[in-house]
Amino acid sequence: MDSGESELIQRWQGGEAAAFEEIVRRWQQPIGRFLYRLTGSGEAARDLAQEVFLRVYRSGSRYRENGAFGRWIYRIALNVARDAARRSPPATLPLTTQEVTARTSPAEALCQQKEADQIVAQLVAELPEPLRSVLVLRHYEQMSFEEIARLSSTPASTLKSRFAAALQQLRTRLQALGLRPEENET
Amino acid sequence: MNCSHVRELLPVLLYGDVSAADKIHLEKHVDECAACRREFVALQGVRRLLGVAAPPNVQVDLARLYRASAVQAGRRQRDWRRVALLAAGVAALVAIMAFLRFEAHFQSHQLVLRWGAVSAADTSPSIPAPTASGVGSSLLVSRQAQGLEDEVQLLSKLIHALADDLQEQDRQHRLGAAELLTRLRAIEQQSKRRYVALEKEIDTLYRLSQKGE
Repeated sequence: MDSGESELIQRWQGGEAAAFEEIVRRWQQPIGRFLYRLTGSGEAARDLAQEVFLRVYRSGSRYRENGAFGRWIYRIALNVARDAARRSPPATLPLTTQEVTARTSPAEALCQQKEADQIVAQLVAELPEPLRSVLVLRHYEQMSFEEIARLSSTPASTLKSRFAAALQQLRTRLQALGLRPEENET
Repeated sequence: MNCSHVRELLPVLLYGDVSAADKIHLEKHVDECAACRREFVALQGVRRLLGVAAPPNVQVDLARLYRASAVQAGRRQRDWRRVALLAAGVAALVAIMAFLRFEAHFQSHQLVLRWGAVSAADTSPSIPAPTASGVGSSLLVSRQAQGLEDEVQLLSKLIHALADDLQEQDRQHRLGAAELLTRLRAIEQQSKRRYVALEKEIDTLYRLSQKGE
């Protein structure tokens, strides 16, 4: 975390509303992206981001500045997403063996790409929680297993096993839906 | 390294989370073993597919956030007030019971409730009555009454301290709510100004497009 952010946090904790609003502007996209990966839904990500920043605002005085604001806010986001998943688990994509047909025109290729993106986002959201969070944090947030271990208070070796299981489950589901990862060359 | 062990490590190899020594062994095995190579290629495909999903734009609504925070603060304040009232009620009850020298116990399968000064007839025969003189006995009663009065005063002070604390919390919450309201008004003003500016811009653009036609 840069010194500017540290100063911003101090100003916010001193009661400066503009500092909090700057923190929101800085973090809303990374947190929104993270929540989208966890939920597979843009709408849910927006609602949950609202909840995350509300919790941050309400518990700001309890945060002790030690250069780990990112870890703190990601942990809040993870807890918010877990609570939401407990309240309403994501709908499961129907398992079909229908192949995603090859299309040729650019418009059709774009549609196919969008379709594949949605399927992947949905499949990630359907993974069991411990597998989903480690996959999202490692792949999309590009955190190391050691960083994830500190964030989630779970040993790195356990996280590595979960990560392997997440990739395997995704592979199986993608194949069942007709998307063949081994043939997907870009 | 056998195939089963290698396959467990393929995901971490894919993301470069293995030591340099392990990496050499794993890559050598993948090169030589067709089945493990197929597995690795499939995992590379999964990684590629994961990489393409585009996230949406997320915008936090600050005005809504401040409103929700004010609602939560109000709810919390009400909860605290209920807890404090309950505690004060319990404390008052305990004080009254102590003052009345209330006793409750089971005796011969019966619940016995007793209050007020214990009469000589009520004292158990197994416990010998104090053999103090009349003056000594009245001094003892007076000391006990004084002790009870002190306890009641202490409880009363505690209740007052609790009430003061509540009033202070109430004042703090009111200040917080007023501050939030000011911020909300500022956001509203800002939004209105932006709206007016946007309308002007649209109007100008419309006029320009009309001229162009």
